[in-house]
Amino acid sequence: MSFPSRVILLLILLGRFAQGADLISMGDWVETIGASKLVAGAGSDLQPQIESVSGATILTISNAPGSWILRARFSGTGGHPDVSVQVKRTSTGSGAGRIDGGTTYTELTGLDAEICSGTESREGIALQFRLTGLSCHVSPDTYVSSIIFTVQ
Amino acid sequence: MKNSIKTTIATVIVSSLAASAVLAGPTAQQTVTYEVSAINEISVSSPTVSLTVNAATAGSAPTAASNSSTTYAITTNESDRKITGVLNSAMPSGVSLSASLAAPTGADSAGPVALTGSAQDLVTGISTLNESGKVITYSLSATSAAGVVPSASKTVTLTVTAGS
Repeated sequence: MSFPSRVILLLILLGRFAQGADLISMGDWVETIGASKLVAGAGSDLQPQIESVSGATILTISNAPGSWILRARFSGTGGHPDVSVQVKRTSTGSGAGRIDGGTTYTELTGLDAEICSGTESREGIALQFRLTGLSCHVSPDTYVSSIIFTVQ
Repeated sequence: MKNSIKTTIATVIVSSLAASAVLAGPTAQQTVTYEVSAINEISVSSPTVSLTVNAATAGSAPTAASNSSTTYAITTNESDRKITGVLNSAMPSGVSLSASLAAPTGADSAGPVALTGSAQDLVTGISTLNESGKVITYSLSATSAAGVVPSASKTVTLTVTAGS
């Protein structure tokens, strides 16, 4: 093998090891909360919990050299202070690796929280979101919670 | 020439590696957006109330008829709301229908208010609450001069609207 070929091979190998796992996410959740979400019409309060569909966000973890942990946190304020955003895993996805945990809701904050863990690549991991703390004291507005997922 | 080709290939591969590192990485971002719409809901426990003025004390005007069997329920997620009441058409001459709504927590009742074809304030100062079982008292009165008035139906529309 010539010298340039060896250099190229070395770069490729170094690149694979240096990259770590890759994370790709698809799908946002948009929910409109109006009078139809009252528990029992006029006189009642809003449903305290509202869930997204299962698979509102789909994650794919690839190029994972070994075990990994998926974490999530808010970027910014996270929305109305009375309302919590929670997330859970609703499918295992598919792939060579394994996936554990994350099947009960985890409340998101500004700090990384572990959602689930696994090994190697997993494709099509479905997530479901839930809003809690809704009431008629949450003033009409549009609240945006940006969520950062990290796999390490 | 041979070295030039190798250099080009090496550059392409290195560039590809760099590009893949930029396009995919260990983080991803999604958004959860929830829009809370304005909610101003009111309902009454019974759609109909019957009132009949058919008695009087000699020497006095006919005795007013009163009914407190109806209640209302309200939910609002806004501040500075009020409840208004309006009739679908004016009452006959000499006949008056009034409504008095019990105020929900923190709000003020206007007490008995004669209803007309124009919206009247019945409760003011309502802010972000949900309550039910608030009593509505209707009262029908008539003067002697009104004479015998045929039975008629009126529709009272209660509305939660802006205004303190």
